[in-house]
Formats: sequence, structure tokens, C-alpha cells
Amino acid sequence: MKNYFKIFVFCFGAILTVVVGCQKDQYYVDSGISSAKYDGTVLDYLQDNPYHLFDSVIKVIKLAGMENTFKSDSITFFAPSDTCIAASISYLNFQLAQKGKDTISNLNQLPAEFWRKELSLYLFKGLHRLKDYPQVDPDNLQVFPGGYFPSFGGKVMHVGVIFNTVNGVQYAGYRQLMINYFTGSTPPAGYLTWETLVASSDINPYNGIVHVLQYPSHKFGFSEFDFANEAMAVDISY
Amino acid sequence: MRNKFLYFSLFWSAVLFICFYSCSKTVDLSDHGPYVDVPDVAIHFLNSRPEPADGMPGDEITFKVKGLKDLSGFQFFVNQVEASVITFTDSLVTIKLPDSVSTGTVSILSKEGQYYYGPVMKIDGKVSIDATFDIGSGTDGQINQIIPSGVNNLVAVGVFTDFKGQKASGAVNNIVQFSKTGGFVASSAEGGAGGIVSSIVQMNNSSQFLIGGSFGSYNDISGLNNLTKLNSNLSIDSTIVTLINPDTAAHPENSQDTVGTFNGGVSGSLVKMFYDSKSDKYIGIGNFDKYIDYFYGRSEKNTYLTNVTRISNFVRFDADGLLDSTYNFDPNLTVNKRVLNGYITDGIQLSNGNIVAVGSFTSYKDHPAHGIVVLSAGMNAEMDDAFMQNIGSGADGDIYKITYNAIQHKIILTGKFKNFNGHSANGIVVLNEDGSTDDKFVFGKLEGGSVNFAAQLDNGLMIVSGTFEKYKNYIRQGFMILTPEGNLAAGYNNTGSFTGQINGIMEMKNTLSEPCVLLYGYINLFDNSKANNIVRISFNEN
Repeated sequence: MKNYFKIFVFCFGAILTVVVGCQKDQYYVDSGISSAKYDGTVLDYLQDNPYHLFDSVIKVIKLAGMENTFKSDSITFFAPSDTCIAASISYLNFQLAQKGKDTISNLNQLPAEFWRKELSLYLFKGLHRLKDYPQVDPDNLQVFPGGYFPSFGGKVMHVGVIFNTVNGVQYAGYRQLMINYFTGSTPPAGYLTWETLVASSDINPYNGIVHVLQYPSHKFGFSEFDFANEAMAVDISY
Repeated sequence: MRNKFLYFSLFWSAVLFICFYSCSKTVDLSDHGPYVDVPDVAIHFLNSRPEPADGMPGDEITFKVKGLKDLSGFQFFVNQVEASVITFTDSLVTIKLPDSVSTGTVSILSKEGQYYYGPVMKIDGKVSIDATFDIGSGTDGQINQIIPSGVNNLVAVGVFTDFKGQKASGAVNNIVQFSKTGGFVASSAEGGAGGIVSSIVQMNNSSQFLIGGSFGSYNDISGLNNLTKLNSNLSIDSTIVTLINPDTAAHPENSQDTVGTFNGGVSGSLVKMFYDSKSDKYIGIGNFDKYIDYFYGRSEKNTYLTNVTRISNFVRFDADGLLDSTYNFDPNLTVNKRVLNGYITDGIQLSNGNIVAVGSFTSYKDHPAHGIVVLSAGMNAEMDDAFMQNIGSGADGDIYKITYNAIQHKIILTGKFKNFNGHSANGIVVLNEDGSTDDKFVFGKLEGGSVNFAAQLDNGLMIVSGTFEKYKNYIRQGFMILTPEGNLAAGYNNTGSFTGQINGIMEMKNTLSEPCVLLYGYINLFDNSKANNIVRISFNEN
């Protein structure tokens, strides 16, 4: 009798192990395969962001008079965020103060053509997903140079895909888009300048592809120095 | 007993089997993982250097390039200037360096409009980065001024916290001493300045320095007002003062304090300082409206009696900080009114001692002064009327920088203005020492940006830099050397892309006795190579 009880306890324990062991914990949420599709235009996508990451970006799009481009043209947009614009404006204001000039408090104090020029650095004609860009290795540009593509305003930008290392195996890991800016009309050879990585790529609204940049350390216009210089060269309305 | 053990073993084996099997997840990915193959780059530059690695216009240069045969057509550029292709195979291309080419990246433009960039083609000329100046990683922030310190050394001030990696072994803060070959020279500026240092001046008949800017402390002495005096080893010149101590018994240490020997300061930023030989005093110019000094004899520790004198933009003081009330001081001034209605951004001292200040103002003491004002030396800060008359209507915009060459007797102004005294001036104008416009200098067509710095060398050539791309239809990316007439100086414009803002230059000789020029400021790129705010170029006249 005692033995049967022991067996019963063991069996119960065993069944319990099987039942509990295979249960999925609450912390594990299978989000499935996320769809890159977005029902709306690129502008809608930016407007719809639940964290309001792109409010100033939309304001800049409107100031630049490029709403229609973002609504109906076939475009690829590397999206910076509001903080990027704030950072560059703050640097511009520092430079203005250094020169004894009044600082700017509203984005509309800068003219449309200025915003169009800066915004165009992030914009490319046509649909370009991660798979369409060549590989880049910043430490081995000779073999994996990435590619140079004229942006919406004509300024040539460098775009490439970084193949990350996984478990010590080079280029076998996840892939990540990177966009780079250089000052002037030719890039310096052998290294990249003003590199910015993409956080989320291939987002696909109706009329375009959006690659959202890793925004915390990015400055609008890539180089805040160039941004401030361009801004001070145009007429700021006070 | 044995049977029981067998049953238990079997039972547990089954349980474990079920557990492992049921919980395993299958991952089925192909060899490529979730990714498809990426597009290959059509054109590959195979070597990092061309053959030969440098050349002059007219030379034939060979590059190793793969993929040209597959292109339907292409153009070859050397730093944006098209070069004629002599021959090409699938792995080699030979081109002829075009005229007026400068150092820069070579590129191939396919018929489809796609650019492929390759190595840097170095163009030989009279200008090169001085190899005898080993500046390494330079500074991590902008340099505002550099002056000699003793015979062999230089001292730089600005906004930086590192010099050639010295941050690791000791603090560098906005002031640093280094040798004329670029080596760090240890000094006693342990903590450095607690803020921006804009200007430094060597004191007369002394090895000491005055520094000015926007800082409140230096080394371990605080309570400074943007101005102080340093010893030759860059430590602050300090002195012990006796104070009133209400509690001598409990706190005897409050009876005295170590303070800066220079007892004076200004309420805003100091832009430039000069030695005024006629009065044997020092003149500071900047954006302030008060002069501040402390009355230690009637002060308690850390709460100094402050003497505030209303005086704006221009101030003269002696070597210990005593204000000169005969200069720009109005005893009847009761309201807070500045002599200038705008900001000073730069200033120079002419060889006759007069002070020229430039900025965003349009009047001085209610007299018109459009962006530039000249004050007579040794006088009560009166305008130099003859000079002002020659300037006439002045600039129609802000003037940002002013440079002066005492040997060529020329002043160069740069800024955001389109006209100067009725003459068309695209952000740059050359003046004679008397303020009249130098009509010999004719600035050509500038494209792609503006000029933000220009200075004349002792031999008459001018260094002009900015954000431009082309000058007189020649590719000159941000840096060029002009003749006094405003033409590109032949042989001197071989350097490549420049990015930044030059704040000043200094002419010197390097160890090979070649003439060279130190450029400093906020400099990212010089001759298409990474620069760290300080660069020395040498001139090879042969």
C-alpha cells in the first residue's frame, strides 16, 4: 500500500512536470512575422507614429513644400526624428549666439529652399529596400564599398548594408542599412564620414519605403556644422 | 526490488523523453538565413593607390579597376575634373591628369549616372601638409588663438579637452602648450580654464600671459570674470590676500585666501586682447557692459565686495587689472547703454596701435559704423575719423572675421555682406591700412558656398577658405591660395577638399627651413585628409 502511494506520488510529479514544463510563460509573446506593409502614404506613416517621433519632420516636409512628394511620389525615405532636428537647431542657435545674432525659435523662420535642401539628403527617388543596396564594411571599404546614390536634391549619398558578425563568423549575422553623408562634392577616400545606422528598414507604405534611422545621436543634415553654415547663409526671418 | 527500480527508470526515461521532445522547436532556415543575395558593386577599385601615386597635370596615371568592360560607357573624374581616358582593359585604366586638377578622390561615372569612387589622387604642387609637424590627433575642439611661448613653443587656447591623447595622463582644458614640431609640452595648467578661452596675449617685458574669454575659473581658483593672468608655465598668477575674519578663533583659515593676482574682469565674453604700447596697458574688446574687480581688504572669504564699473565693448586696464578710466569711460553714464549697438565678433590691432573691431553693429556711440569701427590708439577711445571716412558706408551685412598683414599693409574682412562702401564684395573685401578699399583685389565668381576666412601672407599671397566648391569655374573645395589680385596662384592650388572654419594663421619656418603656415580653428578635413583643428602646410618653392 505504501509502495502504491509512492508510485502515485511519482506519477503525479511526473505528470505535473510534463504539464508545467511545456507551458509557455507569460513573458514570451510571439509577435509572429511582422508585416512591412502600412496602409497609407509615407506622410500618413510619419503622422501615425504613436510616439510622435516625426512631428517636426512633418513640419519640415510641409515647410519645404514637399507634401505631395511624400504622398504620391515613389520614394525611399531615411527618416530622422524630431530630436535630430532639435539637436541641429540647438547647434545653429549656439552659432548664431556666438555671432551676436538672434536665435531662432520656430522652424518657419528658415526658408523653404533651405528645408528642401536638407530634407532631400534623406530622400531618394524610387523604391529601395535593404536587399537592393550593396554590402559595406567600414573597415574594408576596398572589398565592400557600399554604393553612392544621388539623393532627391542631387547630392550624392553613400548607402550600404552592414553584414554583422555572429558567433565569431564574419558577415553571417544580421544585416543593417547605413547611410552616410560627406561634405563637398567628393567623399574622402578610405573612410566614411557622418555614418548613421538604420533602426527599422523596409517599412512599406503605399508610395514608398521608409528606413527609420537610429535617431538618438543623429543630427539633422548629418553634419550640424554644415547645417548651421547653410542656415546662416540664407535669410533667417525674425 | 529490482523490478521496481527498472519500472522507475523506464518511467522517468519516458517522462524526460516527452519533456525534451515536446518542448523542442524546429528552426528551418536555408543556408542564406532570412536574407537573399545582395547586389554586387559593378566597379571595384582594386588598389588603394594609383600608379604612380602622385603626379602633375599632364601625367599619365594607371588605376586598377575591375568591371569597366561591362559598362556601356563611362567618364573618369579626378576630384570632379574630367580626365581623358587613354586606354582601359578589364582590370586597368590609364588616364591623363587634366589641367587645374587638385588632390582628391577619383571617380567613375557610369552612363546610368551611378558614381563609383576610388582612391585619392595626390597632385603635386607647391603646397603640402608639413610632414615635420607631428600633430597626431590634434585637439578635440576648436582653437581660437595660437601665440608663441618662448622660443621653441606655442600656446593654443580655445574650446577643447584633449591634445594628442594627453587627456588620459592629465587634464587639458581649453589651453595647451606644444612645441613647433607638434609635440606636447608639459605645463602647469593642471585644471585649465573652466570655460571658453578666446584670446591670449603675451605681456610686455614679461613672460606672463593674459587670457580672456568666457570662463569663471582657472586651475583651482574660481571667482574669475572672463579675464586673468598666467605665468609662463601656464599656471595662474596668484597671490594671498588678507580678509576680514569674523571668527578668527574657530576658523583661522578664513583670514586669508589665494586669489588671482590680476584683479579685474568683464561681465560678458571677451573676444580679443591687445597690448597698447602708448599707454603700456592692455585693451580688451568684447561683448560686455561692465568691468568687475574685487575689494579684498573689506571682504569676507567667498563673499568678495565687488566693484562694478559700467563700461562697454572696449576696456583698457593695466597689468594687474586696474581699470583705465580715461579710455571709453563715461562718468556721466547712468543707464546701461553700450557704445556699440551689436556684437563684436573679431578684432585686430594695426601697426600704428589703432584697434579695429568688426561685428554685427551699425553704430558706435551713435555715429554710423557699419560692421567695422576703428579706435585711435592711446586716445580716449575716439574713432579714427580719417579711417572711418575712407570706410564710408561700410558693409551691408555682418562682418565675421578680420585679418591684418603688417608687411603688406592690408586688412581683409570676411562675412555675410554683398557690398562694401559701394563696391560689390561677395563676402570678402581687402582694405588698405587707411581704410580705403584695395581695388587691385578683384574677387571672382564663387560657387557652392561662401568665404568664411581670408588672410594674407607676408609674401602677398592670400589664404581663402570657406564652404565653396568652385572659384572662377575651377574646382576648389573650401580652400584656395590667391594672388593679391584675386587670381588662383599658379602651383599653389593643388590641395584637395577642406572642411571647417579657420580662426587664424601663423607663419613660421619648419625644421627643414621651408616656409610654412600653421592653420587653426575648427578644421575637419584638409587636403582630403582628416584634420583635427590644427594643420601646418609647407611651401615647396622649387
